[in-house]
Amino acid sequence: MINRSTKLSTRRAAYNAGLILACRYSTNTPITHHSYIHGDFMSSYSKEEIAKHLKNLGPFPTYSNILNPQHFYQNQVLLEYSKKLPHPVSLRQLAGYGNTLTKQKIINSANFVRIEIPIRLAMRIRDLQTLPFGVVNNFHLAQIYESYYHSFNAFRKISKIETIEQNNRFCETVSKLLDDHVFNLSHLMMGALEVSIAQSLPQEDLDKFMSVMLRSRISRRVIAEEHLSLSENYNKNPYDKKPPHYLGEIFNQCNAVDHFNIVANMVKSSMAPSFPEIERLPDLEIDGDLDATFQFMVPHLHYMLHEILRNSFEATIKTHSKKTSKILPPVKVTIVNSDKHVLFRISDQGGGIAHDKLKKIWSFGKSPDQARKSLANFHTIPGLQLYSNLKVTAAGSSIVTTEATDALHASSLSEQTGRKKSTLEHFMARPYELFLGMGLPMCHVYVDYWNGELSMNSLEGYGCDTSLTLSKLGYHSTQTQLDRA
Amino acid sequence: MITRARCVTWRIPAINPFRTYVQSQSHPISVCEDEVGQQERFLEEYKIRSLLERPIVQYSQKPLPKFSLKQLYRQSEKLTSNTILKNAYDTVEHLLIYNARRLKEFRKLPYLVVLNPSISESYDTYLHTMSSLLRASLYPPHTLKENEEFAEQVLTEFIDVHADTLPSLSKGFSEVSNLLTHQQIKEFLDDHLRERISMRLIAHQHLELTKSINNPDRYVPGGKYNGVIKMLNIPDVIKKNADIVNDITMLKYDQAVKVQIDSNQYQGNYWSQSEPTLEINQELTFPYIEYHLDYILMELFKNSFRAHIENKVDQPVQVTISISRNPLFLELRIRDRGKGIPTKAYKHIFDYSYTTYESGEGEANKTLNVPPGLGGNTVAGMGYGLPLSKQYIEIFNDTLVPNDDDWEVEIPPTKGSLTVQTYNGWGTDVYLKTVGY
Repeated sequence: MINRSTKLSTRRAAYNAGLILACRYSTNTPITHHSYIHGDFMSSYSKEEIAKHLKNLGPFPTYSNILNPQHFYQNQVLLEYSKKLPHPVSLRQLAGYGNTLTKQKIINSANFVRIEIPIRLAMRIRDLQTLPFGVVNNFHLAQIYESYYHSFNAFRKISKIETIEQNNRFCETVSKLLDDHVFNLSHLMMGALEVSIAQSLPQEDLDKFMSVMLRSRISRRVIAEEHLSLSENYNKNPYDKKPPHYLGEIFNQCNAVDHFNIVANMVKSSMAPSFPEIERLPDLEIDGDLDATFQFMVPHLHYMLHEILRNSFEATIKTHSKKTSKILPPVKVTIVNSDKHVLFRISDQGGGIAHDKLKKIWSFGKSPDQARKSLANFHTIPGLQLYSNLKVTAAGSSIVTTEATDALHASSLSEQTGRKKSTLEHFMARPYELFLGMGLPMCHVYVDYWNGELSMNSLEGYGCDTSLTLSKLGYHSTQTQLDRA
Repeated sequence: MITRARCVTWRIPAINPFRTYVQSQSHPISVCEDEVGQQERFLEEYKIRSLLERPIVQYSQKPLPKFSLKQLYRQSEKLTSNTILKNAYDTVEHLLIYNARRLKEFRKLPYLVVLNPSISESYDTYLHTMSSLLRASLYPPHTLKENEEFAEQVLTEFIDVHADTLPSLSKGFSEVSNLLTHQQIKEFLDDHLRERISMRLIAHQHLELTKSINNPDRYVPGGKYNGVIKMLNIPDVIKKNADIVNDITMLKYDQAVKVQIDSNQYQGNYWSQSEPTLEINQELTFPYIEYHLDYILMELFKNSFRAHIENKVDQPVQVTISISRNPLFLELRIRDRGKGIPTKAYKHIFDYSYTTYESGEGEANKTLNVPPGLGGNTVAGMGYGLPLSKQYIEIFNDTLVPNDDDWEVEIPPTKGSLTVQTYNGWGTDVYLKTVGY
C-alpha cells in the first residue's frame, strides 16, 4: 500500500509519534481547503441534494433535547434570570478574603459559584437568542446554544450548599462541566468561521460577539477553577496558613524568562516538522529584567506567549528561509519589570506587515476565502470530534464521547499545568500548518480579561514589535477584574 | 520512529449528515480509520450543510418578478400549448424568488423568535415549499400532460400549505410581542403578507391557465379571461359573500343581516326599502380576481354584520356599486348603521393583531371567524382582517404603468385603495376602489 499523501502522513506521524499509527486517506483527494469550494454549485445534483436536505435548516435538530417546540415556553425561566446582574468579584475576594481557609469561606465560595454561573450563562444565552436566526441556527453555534442551556439548567437547579460534603459533590459537578466543555471553544471558532464564509453577520458584530463570548467563558472558568482549587486545598490542609498575597492554587509564581523559554520550545517543536529544510529555527534572545517574576495562571500565560511567538517565528522563517538555511535572525524579547506591571516587547525581523492589515489582525471576522482555508485546517485537527454527538451527563451538560476526549488529551504535547485539562493546550499543540487565523484575536481577549494591553507595531519591510503588558495580579487583586461576565 | 501499520481501506458509507453517529470501538487501527473517516464524513456533511443556504441567498438576490393586471391579461391572450410550458417554467422560478425572500427574512429574525413553535411552523412551511419548487425546477414540464401534473401536484400543494400559514403566524407574533418592537413586527408582516398574496396569485394564474388550455369549452384563444381574471358579476359576488357570513352569524346569533345593493346604474333606488331587480346585467360586471374580492368582502361583512346584530340594528347593510367603463374602475361603499368604531379603536384598525373582540369571549368569536370549510381564508379575529384586506386591494399599486401606449383605455391615477370612515354612535362607511384595464 502506497501512501498517497506523504506530507500529510509525515505530519500526522510526527505529531502523534509513538501514539497513533501512520495512515493514509482512502479517497483520491486529500482534504485541503480546495475541497471547500463548490465548483458544481447549483448543478442538478446539488439541487437534488439541497431539496432533500433543506428541512435541516429548520430550528429543531434531531439530536437536540433542548431545541424543540416546547423550548420557547420553557425559556421563560431564563428571561427572568437574564434580568439579574452578575456580581463583580476581585481575585482577593475569590481567594477567600484572608489567609486562612475556613469551612464557612469554602461554603460561601461554593454558593457564589452556584449563583453566579447561571446568571452569567443566562446573559450569553440571551446574546445568542437575540442574534439573527440564520446565524445561530448554524451547525456549530446551535450546539453551543444547546450546551450552554444544559449547563444553565444544571446549575440553576442545584440547591443551596451548606456542608462540606455537599460542596464536594458540587465540585464534582463543576469539574465535569469544565471537562465536558472542552469542545465548546472549537465549536465557537468554527461557528465564527462559517459565519464569516456565509457573511451572515457584519464583521464588527461578529468580533463583538466573539469577544464577549470568549471573555465570559474565561471568566466562568476562572471562577469555577478557583473554587475547585480552594476546595481541594481546604480538604487537604484545613485551616492552613497562607502567604499574605495568596490568590489560590490556580495562580503560580512565574519567572518570565523561564516561561518564555518553555513556550519557545513548544512553538519550535510544533513547527519543526513543517520546515525540515531549516536546520535551526530562530533563536530567542532575552534581555532586560531577567529575574522578573509575577503571579499568573500558567495556561493563560502560555497561550498568550505561544500565539505571539508563533506569529514572530513564522514571519521570520517565511521572510528569511529562502535566503539562508543556516542562521535566521533571532526573535528578541525585552522584559521590563515594574511594581504594578510587567512589560514584554517581542521584536522580530519577519518583514513586518502592511499598515492596512495591521488593524485587522485582531479581528475574528475573516474574508470568506480566508475563513474557508482556516475551516479546512480546523477540520483536520486530529482528535476533534466534529459531528453532532451531544449527550447529557448527570451534571446536565452536553458531552462528547469519552473516547474522543481521551484521544484529545493523549495527543496534547504540553504538560498538564492547569488543574483542568485546558482546550488552550490543545490548540497550542496543533500541528504548525493548521493555521486557524484565530490565535491573535483570541490572545487579545485573554489579555483584555487580565486587564492587560496588547498591541503591534510594524516596520514594513523589516519586522514587527509586539508589546504585551500584564498587570501584576498581586498588586491588583482588589480590582474587580473577574466581572467580565 | 514511525510505525507504519496497514490500514484497511475506508469506504465512505452513504451518509445522512444529520444523523448522530455512534463512535465505533476504539483500538489502535480503528483510531486512525476513525480519524480519517471522520474527517471525510464531516467534510461531506459540511458540504451539504453549507450548500443548503445557497439557493436562499441566490434566489433572494434576483429581482422580484414584476407583474401587473396587464401582464396577467397578456398571459391569457397569448395562451397556447407552447406558452403554457414556458409559463410553467417562469412560475417555478418566480415562486422560488418569493420563497427565498421570505426564508431570508425569517432567518433575519432573532433566534428565539424563530424558536417559537408557531413561527417556526410558518418558516418550516416555506422550507418545505422551497424543496418542492427546487425539485420542480429540475424537471420542468415538457408536455401538456406533465404541465397538468405539475399544476395539480406542485402548485395545488403550494397554494394549500400557504393557505394555512396565517393563523400560526398570527399566533406566533402575538407570543413574541415582548421580543420585537411593534415597528419590527409591522415591517415583517407588511412585506410578508404582501408578497404572500403576490406569490399565491402567480400560482393561481398558472393553475387557471392550465385549466383553460386543457378544457376546450373554457379556452378562448386570444381571450382576456383564460387566467385568474374573470369577468365578474359584482352583485352576485356581494350576495355570495353576504350569504356565507350570514351562515356564520346564524350559527352564533341565530340572526342574519340583509344586504341592500344599490348602484350608479340604478339612480333613485337608494331610498326605497325594496331591493332593485338585478337580473343578469352586463352593466354591473367588472373584470377582477374573484377570490381577492371574496376575501375583502367577507372581512368587511363580518365587521358590519356583527355590529348590526350586537347593536340590534334592523336596517340592512347598504352596498353601493359604482362602475365606470372609461376610465375603467370599480368602487364599492359598504355602509352600516352599527354605531361606528370608538375613537380609541379607530386609530388601530389597520394594525396587526388588533381585534374588536373582547378577550374572554372565547369560543364564540371563533365560530364567527372560522367558518367550516373555509380553512385559511379566515384570518379575522386574529386581527389581520382589515390590514390584509387593504393589502389585497393594493396589490397592483406598485405595478401599474400609467403611461403605456399599448392600451387604449386611460388608466386613472388612483390605484387600489381601502378607506374607512366611521361616524361614532351612528355607523361606518368603507370605501373600496380598484382600477382595471
